[in-house]
Amino acid sequence: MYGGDEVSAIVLDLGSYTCKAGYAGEDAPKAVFPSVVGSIYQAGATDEVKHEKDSDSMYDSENADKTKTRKLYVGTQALGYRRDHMEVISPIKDGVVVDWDIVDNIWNHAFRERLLIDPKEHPMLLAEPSSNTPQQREKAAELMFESYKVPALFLAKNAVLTSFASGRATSLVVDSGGGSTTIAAVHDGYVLQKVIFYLEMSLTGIGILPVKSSVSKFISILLVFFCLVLSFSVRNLKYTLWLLPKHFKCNTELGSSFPVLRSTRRTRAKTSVIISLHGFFIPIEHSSRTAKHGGTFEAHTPYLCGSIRRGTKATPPEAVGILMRVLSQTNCKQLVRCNASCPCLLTNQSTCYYHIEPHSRDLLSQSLFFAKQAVSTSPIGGEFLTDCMMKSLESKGVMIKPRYSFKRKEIRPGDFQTIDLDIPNTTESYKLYSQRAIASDIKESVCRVPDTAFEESAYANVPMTPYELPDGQTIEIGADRFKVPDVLFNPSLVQTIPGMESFAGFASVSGLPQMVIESINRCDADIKRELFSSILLAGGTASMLQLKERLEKELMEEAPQAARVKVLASGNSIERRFSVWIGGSILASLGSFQQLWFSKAEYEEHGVSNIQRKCP
Amino acid sequence: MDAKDILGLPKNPFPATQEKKPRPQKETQRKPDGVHREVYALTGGMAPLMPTIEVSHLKKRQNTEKEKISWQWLPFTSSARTDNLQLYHWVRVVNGVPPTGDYSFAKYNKSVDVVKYTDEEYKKHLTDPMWSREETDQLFDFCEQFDLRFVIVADRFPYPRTVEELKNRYYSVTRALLLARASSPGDVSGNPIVKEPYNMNHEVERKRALSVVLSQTKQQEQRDAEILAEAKHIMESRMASKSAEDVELPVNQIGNEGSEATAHAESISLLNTNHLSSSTAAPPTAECTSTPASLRMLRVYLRTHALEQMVQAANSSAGLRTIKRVDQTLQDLGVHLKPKVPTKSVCAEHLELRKEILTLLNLQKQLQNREAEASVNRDNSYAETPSTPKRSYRGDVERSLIPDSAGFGGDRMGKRDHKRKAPGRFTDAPPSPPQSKRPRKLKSSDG
Repeated sequence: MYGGDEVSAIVLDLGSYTCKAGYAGEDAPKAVFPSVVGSIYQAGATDEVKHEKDSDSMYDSENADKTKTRKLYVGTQALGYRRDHMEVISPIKDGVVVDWDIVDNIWNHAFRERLLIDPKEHPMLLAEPSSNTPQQREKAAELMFESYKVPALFLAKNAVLTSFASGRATSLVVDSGGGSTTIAAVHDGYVLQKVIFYLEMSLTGIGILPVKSSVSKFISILLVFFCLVLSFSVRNLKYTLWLLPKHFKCNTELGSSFPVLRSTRRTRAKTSVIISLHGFFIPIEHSSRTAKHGGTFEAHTPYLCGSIRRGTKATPPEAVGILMRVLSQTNCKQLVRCNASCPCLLTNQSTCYYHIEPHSRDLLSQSLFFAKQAVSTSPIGGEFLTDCMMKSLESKGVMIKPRYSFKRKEIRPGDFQTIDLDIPNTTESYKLYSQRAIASDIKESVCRVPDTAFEESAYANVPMTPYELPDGQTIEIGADRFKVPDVLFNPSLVQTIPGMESFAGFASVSGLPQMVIESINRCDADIKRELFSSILLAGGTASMLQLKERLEKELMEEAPQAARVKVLASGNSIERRFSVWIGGSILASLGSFQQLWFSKAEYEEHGVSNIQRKCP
Repeated sequence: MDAKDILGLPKNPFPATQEKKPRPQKETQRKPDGVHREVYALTGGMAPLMPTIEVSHLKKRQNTEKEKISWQWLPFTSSARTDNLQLYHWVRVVNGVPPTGDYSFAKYNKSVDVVKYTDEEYKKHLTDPMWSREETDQLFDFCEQFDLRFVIVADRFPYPRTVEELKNRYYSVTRALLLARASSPGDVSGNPIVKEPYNMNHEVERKRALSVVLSQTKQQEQRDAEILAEAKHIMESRMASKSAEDVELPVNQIGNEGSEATAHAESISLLNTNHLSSSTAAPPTAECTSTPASLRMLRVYLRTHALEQMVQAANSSAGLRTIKRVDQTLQDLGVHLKPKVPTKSVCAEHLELRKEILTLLNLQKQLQNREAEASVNRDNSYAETPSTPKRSYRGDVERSLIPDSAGFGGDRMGKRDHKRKAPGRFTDAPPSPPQSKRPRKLKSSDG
């Protein structure tokens, strides 16, 4: 039994680097072209327009009022031709579509110029980033139904499609594409999207808290309180929580006494905050090695003080809510909710004063949590590596001359002469685009992931590999062959590449193996083992030589003994590169899939928001 | 739809199985023409790797004259959809009549039956202080949408609930509804949801244990193993020093067999030290005490790693070759290499036996040694110094067989010194090679 049924669906994968389009059921996309476009702003200069009329891929922008003066050039050929003042722009920024007009043009180019179809007749399957926002999906659906009038549409996540391409419903997908590297866990055909962090809280001891309390303008008393010290950590930041006895009264002086709050145990406190918890005050001491978050924390102190001054007796859940809000402001992205079953520990003073029962400790730790996006993304993708390659070549004195900037003439057989052309009106972005295209080819043809972590000294004497640039110049590439791909594993290596210092922030990005382990550890314990045994490597950068072997080796070292680590990647580099598209092609040509389309009728009846339910 | 459909071939192009069944037997007997007998024998009468389709079968067309088949691009609707979306696909049209009926893949549209509840039912049976109505509704909605994939439900759930909490709520609600709706409890007692209620605490505990196992990295595990080994080492050395004190004291804690073994081992080791081993007496005593120490430490006797270690500790003084010989002797005696029922007394006895065999072997070796020396001496009598009469060697050997350790003293040391010198002396007058080799080898392994 073959489960396929041909309904002439079109699969479209608009990546950050290339756009892939083709007919469902085929084994490779029909059209592959850059997802950047050339654009020329014309301030009423009509003569230039006439000059460009010979170009075949030119579109008048449809949104007349917004981009009246902009001409967009889409496709490999249109971009390959240099034009005066043509800027190369991308519709996608940080994985999010920022310019839908460009996307519209790219789709149009794919349908009418490359696939030569009428979108009205074909159901469309669009691949989307694994962590796409609902707004983006709705916008895409709206555009498809409104301007292309497609009969049916389906949005599928990249990670799911990659997983399907290798015939798995559950897997951990490492998609190393052009713009970024994304790691997502797929379970039963759904991408896991949310992670909840629970705070582990532990009783660290009993502390002495000296507080200066001013009785009048001139007299101030130093009060000493014994209190419980609880500590917990949120994403590498340690917090200390002080529980004060009930008779530590809340008054206006308290606010002024904050600065005096000192821990006798640890004095590295950056900030202290007091929260009233049903008669208890909880000063939070926030100590971290990086003082980065100190500022944010302080900013919220007045708010909390205010609530205390007004004497509002916060019920425990509310108080913990405040606590969590403070914490969420400091570091965590999203605050979800405070558990209703919250701290009996804080209400019952007799049991909590010096003693915390185990079960109440559990309750407390459960009541503090944060949710976060589960799909982890690192900005290190193919384009970034291309930039690394380009910069490190430049630092060695190699100038990559774009093809348009010179003429090459055969003076006698086998002997060429290059004449540099002076083209003043070429934009910087177009030059960069052309140079990148060459650097990307250098990267693809010579780079290889080293077997162990890259070391400058160990690779000082590796044999040089020759590469001939378009202008006939032959360059030799040595250690950079290994250094550039190793950035995937060790992002801090970027700092050693001259010209890439501006990306020093990338040093804090963790390497590929750590990201994989972290992603798996965030998942439910029951599926961890399965994820470890099916780590899928996909995307254009994944076809780098030895990447799979190195990743597997590093994961074996890091992974728990109990799990079997297996990194899967297709042996065929075409399949690795287009795995998302191929997954879409498989999915859209399945007979049992045909019931899942989000149809035009449904769109008209339920509105665009229904896509969230139809394409989960 | 596949290539066979399009070509108009039947789904099962092979001849019916009834026809084929008698045939293979014949084939196994008769080798096909054009194949060498030897080559055919190699296949072992197995089925060929490639399926063989007879050409005649391909050419045969059933009922092609009557049917006029064409493929058409026709619209279809699926009953699995709520709207009537019309998509197009290729359909096999026989005699111009398109096939009727539902879309052939609609039958795969399966979904899980999730129980629905009414407001009254909720108020009556399902209220829970931990769960609000909205949350429960949302849970059941998701359960239906994601077909009870609780991991996904937990992932999409807008409120932070663990998978266990969701499962617990879902199963308890379903159970309560089933029980409430049943006319008598007996009606639904067979239902698995009623029969085996979800045990949340157990699941949480299980998951915690699992995540502990899975969150340990290899390095951590290695480090743990190292620390454990270190701790064990420290323990052992402590025990050893303690037991050394014990040995000095007349009071012995390890019971009869143990103390006997110690006493015996000590006497043997004393013998060993004085006779063969190196001039320093300290390491052998430590070694001899280590055996009972390890015995004492292993309060539970297991036939595993620990047992092996115990045996190894007993052997530690001897060389590899000697250990092999001990094992050999044990096998000759019909004794297991490791005690089969490793109780304390059996282990002690076993170790004692090993010690005894070791002593025996040592003595045999010595005997050989001495005999070789004697024969050499006899051969090279001219080199003999008058201060070492031949008789004294024999006496030494005889005496060493007596386990009585008292009265051995300075003269033994003198003997050893003498023995040491002996090979040096032999060098200037080379004897027959096999004879001279042996004592030297023994020396190197024992000394």
